[in-house]
Amino acid sequence: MKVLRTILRSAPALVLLLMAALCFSAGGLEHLLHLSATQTDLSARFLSPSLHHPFGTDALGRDVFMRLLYGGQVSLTVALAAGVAAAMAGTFIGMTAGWLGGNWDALLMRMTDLLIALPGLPLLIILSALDLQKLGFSAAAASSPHVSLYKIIALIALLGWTTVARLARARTLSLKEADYVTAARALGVSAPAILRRHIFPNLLDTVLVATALSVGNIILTESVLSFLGLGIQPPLPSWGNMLTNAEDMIWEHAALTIYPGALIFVTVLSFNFLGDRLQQAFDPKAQR
Amino acid sequence: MTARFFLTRLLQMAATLLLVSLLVYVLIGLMPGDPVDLMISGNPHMTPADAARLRAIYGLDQPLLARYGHWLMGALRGHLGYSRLYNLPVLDVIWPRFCKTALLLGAALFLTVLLAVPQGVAAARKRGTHLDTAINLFCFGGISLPDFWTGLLLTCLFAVKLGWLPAAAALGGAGFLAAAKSLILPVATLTLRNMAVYVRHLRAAMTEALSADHIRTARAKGCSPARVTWHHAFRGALAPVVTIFMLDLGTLFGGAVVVETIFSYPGMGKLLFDAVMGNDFNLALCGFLILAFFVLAANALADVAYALLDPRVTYAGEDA
Repeated sequence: MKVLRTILRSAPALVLLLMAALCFSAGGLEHLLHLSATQTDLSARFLSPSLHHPFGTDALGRDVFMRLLYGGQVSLTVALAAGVAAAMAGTFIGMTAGWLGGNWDALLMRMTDLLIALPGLPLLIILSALDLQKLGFSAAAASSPHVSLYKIIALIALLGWTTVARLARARTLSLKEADYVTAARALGVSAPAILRRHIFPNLLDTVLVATALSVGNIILTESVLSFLGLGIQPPLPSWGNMLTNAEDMIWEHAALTIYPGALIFVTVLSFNFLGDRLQQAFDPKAQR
Repeated sequence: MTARFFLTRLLQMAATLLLVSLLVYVLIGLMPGDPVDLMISGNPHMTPADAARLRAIYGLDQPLLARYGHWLMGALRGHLGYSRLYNLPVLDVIWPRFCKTALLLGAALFLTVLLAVPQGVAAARKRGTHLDTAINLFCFGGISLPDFWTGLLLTCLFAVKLGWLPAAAALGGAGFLAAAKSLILPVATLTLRNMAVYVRHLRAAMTEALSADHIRTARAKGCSPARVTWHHAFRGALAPVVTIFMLDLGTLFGGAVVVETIFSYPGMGKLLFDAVMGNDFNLALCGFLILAFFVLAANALADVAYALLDPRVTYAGEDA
């Protein structure tokens, strides 16, 4: 896995690893620096950056640095969890369609086409208003503090599996005809075993590249939903919802608008570069 | 291209639309609070018997599929119900906003194409040069920008610091000039991101088109570089780009939601957002249904356009 090692040493990967390390050590830093992401202090609103508050404080006197770190935790968690969930669902659906063929293939692929065609963000906005209790969740589960986090992961994964499914199906269709698969079949290996042992490992690179390329978009989607007030709900911070009231503060406190957006930009840019690198590494013949 | 292909495609579209409408109808049922619940909370004197009678009047006691059938028959005759937020028939609320959005997206698309074509073609022609690298980096930046943030920053700069342009569509005043001025920032925000996406597609399509054999022939027979690029290669690159363009319409509407909300531009996107925030789900879902209709129609058009632009394309059931 020399390829992976080279990629992990590339600049975008280093930026992302550093950012993740910083964000996920927020709990420790909070303790160490005596800062709090949630403690409001109305006598300390809109403080300028200082030694104690490296990025100043926000409209409620909360430390912006800690909020950025916790927001990063949330954004990265959503991106990775939704990305992995979508990749798993897409791989499963794509492999099923490609392997079974016929009517199943037609049904699953028409479903995929439909989902790709529908306007994604409007649909997400509508779905985010779904009443969880009418879906059969208990009132306690529907109002727990982290429910917005799980909801957004589920929603993004629900709409995000389509690209991977199409790629996995195409690869399965061609791998199905490979000699070693025919050989395995002749030996009487069961279909699930063939899919697991012979087909899945060979389409992993395609899935990996597609997932890496999708993570950037997931972060953008999460941040825009949270910005609109439909994604991650306060008090849980996310880079998107830190910008929710920025329109009102933009007049006097432009810095509060710049930090979260710049972090989203750098993170998404890094994931896009990383995906591009992976694509080149696994598919050198792809047109550059 | 036969009539059969058109007919199949049309039938497919109708079936898909039917499926989407069922989905939409089921979703309305899963939204918080049904109309009778809202009436109960608005009128403390209502007894459970009254509520049951109301449910019977509105047909809410019927099974889901029966209700859907009833709604569909009405919808086909243009009765999509009322908006709670605006107290108007849904279509009357949607129509003017739809025109506004069409104007916004049309302007943004026009500008996008105008700017993206030269960049994509230049990058493909000068592949591997500094120009190509610069355009490529610029595109990576463009696709990584959160569009709501770009919108906020543009507002910050041009509306707040410099005061040249209105921060919201309604602040611009009346008249054509004011309307045009209020369009500048939303259009710029949309264009910045879309341009990056299209330049990437154009570059890839042009690179492939330029490596074709007939391009080498055209060069060998002494065709001027401009003629080779635009007459021979660009036409070949057009088909995949037009297809992506049409398939991408759904994403475009997503951009409209964001930009319209930030700039308070009274279009479909803002309407959808306001409807969801105001619990006006009939309006939200009918709006979505109309968006979906246009996107699906565009997809069907893309198929037809592809066949027209690329004579090699044939479809099942048709002989070459």
